Order: sequence, then structure tokens, then C-alpha cells
Amino acid sequence: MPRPNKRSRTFRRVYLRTPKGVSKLVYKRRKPESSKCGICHKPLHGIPRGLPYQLRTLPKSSKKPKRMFGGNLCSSCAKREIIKRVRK
Amino acid sequence: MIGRICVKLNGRESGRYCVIVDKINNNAVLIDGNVRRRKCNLKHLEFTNKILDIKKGAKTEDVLEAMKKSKIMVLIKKSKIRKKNAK
Repeated sequence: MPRPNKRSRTFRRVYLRTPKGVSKLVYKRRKPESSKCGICHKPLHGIPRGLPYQLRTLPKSSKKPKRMFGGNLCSSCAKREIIKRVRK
Repeated sequence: MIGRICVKLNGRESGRYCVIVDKINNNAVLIDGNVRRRKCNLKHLEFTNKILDIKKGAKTEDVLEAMKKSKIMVLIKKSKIRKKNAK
């Protein structure tokens, strides 16, 4: 039996092949959920989905779109939001 | 049409104020101001009521001066880049 904390499905299970040629079960962290638009809750484009240690290696410009509300709102919602502010 | 103040909606310059400088065709215009001087689709612009009095095809410096007079905030960052280029 695996260790008690590995018995739940919080960890995903990956089979790896060792240099010896034996396949082995390895427990890995699950990816976080993809970030969503604050208004329409659709998954955002242009934002990588990965564990914090994977995102740390990426350059800043590739983590979110360099747009107004980039990383918080999707493009169509951001456009609508800007129009709303201008017309005030 | 020329001199009308707009706001860009798409791209990294979205939300910034710009001025129409010239007309290119029925769909596109030349814009300048707080954005790079570039061709822009009319669908990517939101028009405001204000109109600056500038000539057709005015230089960027003239556009920025006209914007300052009408009390529209001019981005500081861009002027720094322009100074470097002038040297």
C-alpha cells in the first residue's frame, strides 16, 4: 500500500520508465485550474497553465497579454469595458 | 474627421488616447498621440466628442502640443524615447 497521503487523488499518478528498464509509479502535483475572465468566466488565452516552479522560469511578457486588463479580462470583455468608460 | 480624439480598443495600446491625423482609405486612418504613429482600422477605435485643430498629416510633436493644450494627459514615457532618438 502507498503512504496514506498518496492514497487520495490530490496527486496525479505518472508511470515513468527508469534507466533500468522497469516502469515505476511516481506521484506528481496536479496543474492548477486555468485562469478565467472576471466577467464571462471563459478560460483566458495567452496565459500559461503550470505549477509555480514552471511559471517562474518563463519571461514576464509570456505570462499574460500586454493589454489593458490583460490577465484579468478576456479581449472582448476588455473592449466592452473600455468603451463603457470612454462613453461616460 | 481629422483631429478627432479617439481611444484605441485593441492591442497593447488599448485604452490609450490618440488623434486621427490622416485618412488612408474607407476602413483605415493614420493615428498619432499617446500611441505609435500607425495605420489603424476604424473598428479598433472608439470616437469621442472632442476635436483638435491640427493640419492633415501633422507631425507627432504638433499633435502632442495640441493634446497638451486641450488638457489630455500625454504619456511621459514616449517623450523620453523620442529624446533618445533625436540625439
